[in-house]
This record gives sequence, C-alpha cells and structure tokens, in this order.
Amino acid sequence: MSPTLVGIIGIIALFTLIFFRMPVGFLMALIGFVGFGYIVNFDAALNLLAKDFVSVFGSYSLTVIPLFVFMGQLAFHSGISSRLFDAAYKFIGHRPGGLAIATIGACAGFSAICGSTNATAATMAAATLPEMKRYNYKPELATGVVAAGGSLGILIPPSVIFIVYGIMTGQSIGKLFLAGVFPGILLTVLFIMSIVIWTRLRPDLGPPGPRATLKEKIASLSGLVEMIIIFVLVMGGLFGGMFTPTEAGAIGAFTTLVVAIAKKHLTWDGFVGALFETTRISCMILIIVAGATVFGHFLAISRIPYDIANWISSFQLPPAVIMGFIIAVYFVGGCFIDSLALIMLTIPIFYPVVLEFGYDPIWFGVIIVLITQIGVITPPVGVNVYVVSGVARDVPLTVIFKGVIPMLIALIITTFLLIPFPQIALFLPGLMR
Amino acid sequence: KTPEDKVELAREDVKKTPVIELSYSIFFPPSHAQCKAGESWAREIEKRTEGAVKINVYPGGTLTAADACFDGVFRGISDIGMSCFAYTRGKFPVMEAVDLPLGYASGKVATRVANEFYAQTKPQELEDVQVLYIHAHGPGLLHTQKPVENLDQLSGMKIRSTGLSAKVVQALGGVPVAMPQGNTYEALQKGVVEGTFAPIETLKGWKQAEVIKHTTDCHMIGYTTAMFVVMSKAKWEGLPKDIQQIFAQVSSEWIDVHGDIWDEADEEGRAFTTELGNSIVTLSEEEGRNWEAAVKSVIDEYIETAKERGVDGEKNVALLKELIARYGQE
Amino acid sequence: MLSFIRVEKWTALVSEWVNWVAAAAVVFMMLLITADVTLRYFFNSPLRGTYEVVGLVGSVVVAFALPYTTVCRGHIAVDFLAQRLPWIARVILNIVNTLAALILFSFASWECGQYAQSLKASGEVSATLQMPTYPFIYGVAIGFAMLCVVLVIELIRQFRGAEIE
Ligand code: NA
Ligand code: NA
Repeated sequence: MSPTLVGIIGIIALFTLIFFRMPVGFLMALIGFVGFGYIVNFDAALNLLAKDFVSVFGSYSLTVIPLFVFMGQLAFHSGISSRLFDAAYKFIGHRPGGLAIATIGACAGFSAICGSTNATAATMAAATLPEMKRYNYKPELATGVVAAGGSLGILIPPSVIFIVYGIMTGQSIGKLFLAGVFPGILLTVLFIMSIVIWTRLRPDLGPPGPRATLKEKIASLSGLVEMIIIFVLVMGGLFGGMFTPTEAGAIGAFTTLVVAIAKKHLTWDGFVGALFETTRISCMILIIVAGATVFGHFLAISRIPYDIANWISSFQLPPAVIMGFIIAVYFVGGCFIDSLALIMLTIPIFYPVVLEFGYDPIWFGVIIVLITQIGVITPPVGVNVYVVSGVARDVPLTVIFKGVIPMLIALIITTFLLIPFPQIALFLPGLMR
Repeated sequence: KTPEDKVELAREDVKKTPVIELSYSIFFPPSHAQCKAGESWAREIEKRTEGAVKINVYPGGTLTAADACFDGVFRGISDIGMSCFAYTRGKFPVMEAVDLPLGYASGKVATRVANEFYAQTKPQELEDVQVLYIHAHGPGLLHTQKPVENLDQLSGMKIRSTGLSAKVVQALGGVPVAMPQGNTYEALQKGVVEGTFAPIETLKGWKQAEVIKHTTDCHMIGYTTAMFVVMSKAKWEGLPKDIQQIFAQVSSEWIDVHGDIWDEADEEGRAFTTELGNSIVTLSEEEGRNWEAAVKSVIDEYIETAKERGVDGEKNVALLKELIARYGQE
Repeated sequence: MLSFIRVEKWTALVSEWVNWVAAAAVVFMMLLITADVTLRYFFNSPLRGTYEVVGLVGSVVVAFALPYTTVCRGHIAVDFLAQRLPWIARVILNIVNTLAALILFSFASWECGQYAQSLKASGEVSATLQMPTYPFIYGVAIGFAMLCVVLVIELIRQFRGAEIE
C-alpha cells in the first residue's frame, strides 16, 4: 500500500469510528499511531506517540488554555456572570424578549473574560435559565439563546480556538483576538435582532417583565465593576503590551481570584469547583490537541496534505470556488465533530491551500471560527446544545435545536457578510501594524 | 512552482522510479533560506544519484518538532533531520562548546569551525547517527531601542534571549527574558523587552528592525547556534557505497553553501535595518575587551559543567579558539 | 463481588488525589507567572526560567488530570449513534473502545518511561535553569499508567455487564 492510500484509509477510519463513542483525542492518537507505524515502523511510531504527548502537554503556549479556563471558572463560581445578567435585565427586561436580549448581552460581556464556547454556554445557562424560567419564558427561546450565545465566547477575545489556530499557523494571537472583536459585535447585534423579530412574531415566547426604576438600574451597575476591572486589566495589558497571552491568562485568573476573595464572593467550595472544572476542561482540550498532533504527523508522513494541495490547485478552479468548498467542509464537519478537533484536523490540510490563493490568514481564522460555531449548535453533534441540555435537564434536545434556528440565521448572515467585507475582521488588526 | 515545473517533475518521476525514498525533517519554516538550502542539498543528491534516491522534505517541524528532531532520526521518525544542538541542552556536552560567545566573525567562519571541530573531536554523543554536516549562524549581536555603547548602558535592560544567549546577557549585566522568536516583535514593540540578542538576520527575517533603533556590533563576543544535519545510522549503512560517497561529497560542498547563505542573510538584515534609519554601533577595542572579560564567566561555567560530564571543556574551548583564528584569516 | 467495588472506589479516590496535584499545578503556574510579570514591571527583575518551568509544570496539569477526567467521563466523544444501538452492542462497543485506549496508553506510558530514562542518561536539562527535565516526563508516564488502571477497571465493569450512561 502506498503511504497516500494508508493516509486516505486513516482519514476514512477516523470519520467513521468517531461515531462509535471513542473519545475524539484517543481516536486520533490511535489512528495516527497505527498509521504511522504501518508506513514507517512500530518503534518510530512509539517514539512519535510519546514525543507528541509530552511536547503538547509541556507546551508553554498551550498553558494559556488552563489559565483562561480557570479565569472563566472563577468568574462563574464567584457570581460575576450572574451579576452581569442582573444588570442587563434591569435595563431591558421590561421589553418583550428583554431577558433573552439581556442574556445575549451578558454572553457578550462574559465572552470578554472567557475564552471557550462551551464554558460560556455552560456558565450563562446556569446563570440565566432559572431566571428566564421564573419570568415565564418559553424553553425554546431561553435555551436556544444560551446555546448560541456561547459562540460569542469564542469570537470575542480571548478565545481558545484563536489561540490554537494561532499556534498551529504561526499567526499572531494578538491580531487574531483583535480580528474577532467587530465580527463579535456584529453577531451580538444580529442575535438581538433575531430575538426582537422572533418575539414580535410570537409574543408568548418572552413576555415582558416589570420595569426597573432608574435607581435600581444604577444600583445594578455596581455588580459590573469587577468584570470591568478584570477586562480592562487583562485585555488592556494584552494589547497595551504588558504581557503575552499566557501571562494575560495568569494575571486574569489571579485578579479574578483576588477580587472575588476581597468582595467575599468566593467560597472554598466554589474555589475547588473552579479548579476541578479547570483541570477537567484543560485535560479534555489538550488530549484532543495531542491526539490531533499525532494524527497530523501521520497525515504528514502519508503526504496527503501535499497531495490534496496539489490536487486542488491542479484543477485551476477560481479561488472563490475552492474557498466555497473549504467552507462547505467546515460546515458539514462542524455538524459532526467538535469545532476544536475539526480545526486541528483540517488546518494542516487547508491552511497551505488558503495561503496559496492569497487569502488573509487572519480573516480565514475568523471565518472558520464562525463556521464551526454554526457547527456547535446544529444537529446531530451540537456540543453547546448538549452543554445547555446538561443544565436544563427538563428541556428535550429537539426543543433546544428548534430554539437555535433563529440564532443560526444570525450566524450565517455574519459569515456571509465577512466574505465580501473582510475589513470587518481585518480593520482592527490592521491598526496593529 | 509553475505548472511547467510540475509537468517537468512528473516526467522525471516516470523516467526513473526512485529506489530509495528518504524523509528529511527540517525545523526551519519553508520560507526560511536555510530550509531552502537544505532542500537544494536534497535536490542535488537526487540529481547526482540520477534519481536513485528521492528525499521528501518536511519543513517547519511538520514531522518532528525542533527539540524532537535528533531522537526522531535516531528512532526512525524521519531518516534525515536538521535542527539545533541547543534545543536539547545537556545532550551534546562536546558540541555545546561551539555555541559559546567566542567571537565568531561570520556565519561562514562559524560553520567551518563547527564542522572542523566535529571532525577533530568526533564526540561520543553523535555516535548513534551519521553526521552529514553542520552549519551555524553569524555572530549573535545586541539589538536595542536605546543605544548601548558600553556595559553600563546595558545594565538592567530586559533583553530577549534563551538558553545560552540568556547566560551571555546575564553575564553582561542585562536581564534575560525568554520567549519564542515569533513573539519577540510584539514584545519589543510594546516594551515587554527593551532589546533582543540574536544574529542580525533576524532583524529582517522576523521584521524586528521595525521595532528596534540600534544594533551594538559586539562580534568579539559573538556567539553562534550550531545546527546538525544527521542521518539515521541504519539508513546510512543501507546505502550502496557509491551513493554514500555522493552524500558525503554533496554534504561537504554544502557546508559553505549554508555558511554563505547565513552571511547573505546577515548582510540583508544589516541593509534592512540601516534602510529603516537604525544605527549600528561598533564597540571600541577597549570596550570590546570589557565585554570579553564579562562573558568569560559563561565559558568558565561551560568548562566546569563539562568536567562533571567527563568532558575536557578546556581543550575544546582552546581548539575552537584556534579554529576561529585560523578560519577567520581566510 | 464486594472486592471489585472496593477496588473501583479506591481507583476513583486515587484519581481524585492525583487530580489535586494537577489543580495545585494550575495555581502554582498562575502564581509563578503573576510574580514574574510583577517583578518584571515593578522591580525590573523577572524570575529566571519562568518560561521553561511553566511548560514543565503544564505537563503535570494535563497528565495528572487525565485519570480523574476519564473517571468523570470528561472526554469529548460522539454519542448520538451509539445511543441508538441496542444494549448489547453498546457494551461491546465500550469494551472495544476501552481496550483500544488501554493498549494505546500502555504503550504511551511505557515509552514515556523509556524517554525519561534516556533523558536522564544523556543528561538533558532545561535551557536556562539547566534543571533536569526527566522527572516531569516520568510524571507524564505515571499519569498514563494511572489512566491505564482506570481503563482496566472500566473494562471489568463492562464485562460485568455494567449499565452504560
Ligand atoms: Na471570549
Ligand atoms: Na453540530
């Protein structure tokens, strides 16, 4: 068998076996290990396996993941996220669907200190679903909004996917973060428009709540102080050049911890809960990164990425068609595979092609984040939908998937706006020189 | 590659089916001139063996990361590998000496010295692989935002440096801050560090000239980073004698190819930074001696650690100094 | 079979203890980096070697969190097809998956142990502090070994026809 054929079998095996419940990271490592062993030899594959695991686990750049996850977890366990929601509610809760809009606003705010889509969805689900239920919001609106709101977590910096993409492609993480800001704001606005239109069509979904007095409104803002301090420090420090992304994660976690303790918002149990969630989520992510690294090395030795790049360019199709093809792959892939795993699987294949056609790598990073965020809320595998259903145990999965549809439209519009108008993403990083 | 090139290559493929296919892992990204030099070496081998050997190059650590390259060759992940000795510190107690701040005048000198040093010492640490050749970059210099003409001005300055260069920075009174080369631009721009210690080519290659103002030409303490090109012993021994000879011949020719490319890169870096209006200060002879005295501690420390490992560091340093003097005059 | 249940509980407990080490490593990383940045900014004297220590400690975080994460079924897996399969098919599927993972991580653990040994033998040290790196690689090997124990327990559980959640 030629290495290329082995590589193709490996890819097919991965996309088939993935449906049989083997953890994604384990499966990628296993297929990579077996495939590499078949093409080269067993001893080399064994060495590859150990080296790849050790180098991913011990990568300085990747320690940014546990640190930012810890920061988000501390924010959740010290109630910063729920106070954020309270404030947003005081301002717009009296409108139809106002609570849902407040949830999106809170998601956007929380995104600014949390780098993970699942973590944002989980955090905001825990904080806002009980509130929306209390005000007689229909579960499809409530859960749909939270599941989709998680995508802001990944688009508005900091963002785990941008970090992984930056590391894999050598692009500046700082620039990628900046590139996500305007698309994130645009998406927030479109999410809100979706909610407004949807609740106008079906007012029973989100009945208006009581109007808060001006005094109450102002009082609620005090709950935002902590979040603003942390955001200004972390993002200001990161873009003002005081520290690297990893350092920003550490400083952010430390500040959140200090603020939460100082304001007596964090119990010992909350602290331990935050820590254990952090190790679990980090381990889950890094196992996938390590597995994808082994699998990537297997693909490299099979020379498939080179073959595919040559093959695609040999057709001499217009770049737009090829970009359309790549987007379609991400869209379909995102329906089945976790976005992080999908990006790590495909970047080695598509990134060189995208570069060859002269597309901006930063813009491409934003595009695939958007497309994969469509993936995290579409069936059959919608990780965020699963996360939300884990919190709202009484709501059937189908109801959540239904509730996600209007939000999905907003995501698709954002993606398609970015294709003719790449400046939406590239304007801010362009200022960075 | 143009379509014509591809057709040409395809035609050659049909003409001669390669009998020996080798993988070559290079840690440099494909755009780097040293990666291209490694690829040109591979193409030359293919040409002279008349297609009997085919070498697939894996650049940018796509097969083995920089610090896994040597073991990768030893264990058969790739058949050939290019990386730095310094990435696995302590693994090469003899070759480590080459990187010391001994005052390399150019990349060509450093490259020739490194190869001759290897040929004369034949260290045990490299016995498990077939060394094809070694190359090394031009003198590592100091690039800063504020001018540095003497040690006082350097005192307390935060300088990006890693491993051995960090020791040099510390010996000179600066404050070493470690970070990957890729993050240095941003760090310099924002003032996370106030300077960087590296061969002048990085000013162009990583665009760092845009964010520094001055270069201090301290070549009298110029350190280098030696890089190996090694082949798996088993694969080497499996090669027919005539092909082994072609490998040896091409490799010896490529020593100066790499050395010249390092020097060209340094010249381009120098031109680039001057174009941007940055200044290059050469240390006065007297000040140069101060710097040499300051970094002596780094050399002594190497000799000390080497002794613990049963390596005669003093002899190695003396040999290197002699070779630097000899090749420096050519 | 009280003894098996006891072993199972004991494994879960040990995994949790080991996870505490991972948790402590996260806090240590956070404190170390914060101290480094603070000292760099206000006292112009960053901690030497932070860069390499953070990477090495990071490997402890992942390796030592791995057994507990697996006990908690914290890994991302695609579930929707398996859910639709009959009970016996699911049990077989779980046995095959667990066995495959067990083989993979036994190899990984053994090879990491070998790797650590070779690092010790060749005297490899970290770039700046020149601190030996092999203990951390042993740490990764231990994490994998612990994971293998967890997987063996899981395998036995499946063979005993355990319920699948
Ligand atoms: Na975010
Ligand atoms: Na999906």
